[in-house]
Amino acid sequence: MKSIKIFLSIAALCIAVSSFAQQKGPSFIGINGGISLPLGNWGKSATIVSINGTVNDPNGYANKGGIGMLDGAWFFSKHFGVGGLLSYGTYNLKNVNALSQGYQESFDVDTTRTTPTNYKVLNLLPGLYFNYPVLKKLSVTARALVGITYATTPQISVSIEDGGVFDPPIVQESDSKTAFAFDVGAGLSYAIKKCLAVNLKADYFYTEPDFTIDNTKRNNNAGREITTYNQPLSAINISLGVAFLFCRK
Amino acid sequence: MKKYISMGHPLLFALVLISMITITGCNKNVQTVTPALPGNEFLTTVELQLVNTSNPSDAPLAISTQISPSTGLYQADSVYSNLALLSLKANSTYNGRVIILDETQTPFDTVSNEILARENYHLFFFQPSPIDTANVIITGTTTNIPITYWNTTNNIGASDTTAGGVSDNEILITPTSPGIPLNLTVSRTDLDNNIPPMQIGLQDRYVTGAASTGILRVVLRHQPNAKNGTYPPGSSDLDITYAVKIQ
Repeated sequence: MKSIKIFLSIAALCIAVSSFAQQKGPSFIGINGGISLPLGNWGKSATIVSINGTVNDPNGYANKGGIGMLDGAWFFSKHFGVGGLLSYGTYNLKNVNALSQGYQESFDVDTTRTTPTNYKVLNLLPGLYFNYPVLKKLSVTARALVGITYATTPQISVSIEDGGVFDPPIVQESDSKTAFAFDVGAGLSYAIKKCLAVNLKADYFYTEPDFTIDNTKRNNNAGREITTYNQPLSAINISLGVAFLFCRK
Repeated sequence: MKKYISMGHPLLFALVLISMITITGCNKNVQTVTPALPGNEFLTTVELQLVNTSNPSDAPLAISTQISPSTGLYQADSVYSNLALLSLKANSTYNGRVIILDETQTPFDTVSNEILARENYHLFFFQPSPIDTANVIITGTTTNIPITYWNTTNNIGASDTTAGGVSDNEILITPTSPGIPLNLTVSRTDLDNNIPPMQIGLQDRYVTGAASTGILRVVLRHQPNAKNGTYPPGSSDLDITYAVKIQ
């Protein structure tokens, strides 16, 4: 009996939401795709040389990446709503030649061959949404989200050749961690039809996982070697997409 | 009242999806090959500087060089070994060091200082010869060169193992091939910065026995990320021989 009451209450709430949807902000489900621009040390690179002993490296070598987003919100008032964002981004490494050259000079060898995988960042961020119509079809949107991220660092494999001899490769292993994250963003939403809008969004994303990096096949102390990486992973995400509005014909 | 979600412009929807897939799909793994850096130094001259521990005035110096004594110029295909002779006292102990020079530079570039700076992946080997089979001991701390890396086809110069010259070959003394061994043992006395530390060989100890003659082959192994105390990993930066006379 109790479960039936709960079910009926939820159903009533849904009907009420639908009934008053037009009096409130535009609840939606949207899909966006775009580019993510890493910031800070995460997006920096350098040639790290150390001939006697290893050195840490705060640089993340993250290149601009592609990001896909699925988000939605339910507006409980004319301008404010609650919702969530699920996004996934990947980032190749940039300036790999500088990275490779650092190992080459550190070990004084003829050739180094560096093969990295990429960063992967998966976010689940609930939060507050804002919508303010400025023209009949154009709205300014904003969102402030706090949640969790699951980030993975690249594996970096460096093979070494000297005098025609291939020596053991240096491998910086990948690590994955879950951490708190936040995202704040703003954008424009243009209704191309009554229930369909095109969205342009810009977001600032921040998280700081505490990665523990294993290094395998490291036999001698020279060159770049990181055992932890707890630099912020922050980025500006610029995306374009469409949103399906929950509206009535 | 009919409620529906409009699909809007299918073309626009497809465009957004394709752009997302394209952007994400561009993240292919990259591989970079960094070619050799220009300007590597020459290892033109290798000196063995020894000092008798009980008689500092007994300080033998043996020099192997690729600088022509007559022209003073670097000869890539020649080794001048007229000064490559170690005269040692019998039953004595010497402290020794290896000095490597690049005499094509003015002033001379002391390459052994760079070897010291890069100690974590360099290792010297010293092979006296003739030597008894039983005395060829291969461990992570001995200076002997495994027999498989010897030149044993002929006594002299059948195989060129030097950077530009000709090596004398090692001679193994066995019951079927008897002979008088060179009574010399060389051990390394310096340690690098690896964890745990490993030997380098720029600083050494020479211990002589009874009077004898032979050769000492000196090899510098460059073992980037491969140094483990043994001879095989890596490649040779230099491989030269000295005549040794113990009296």
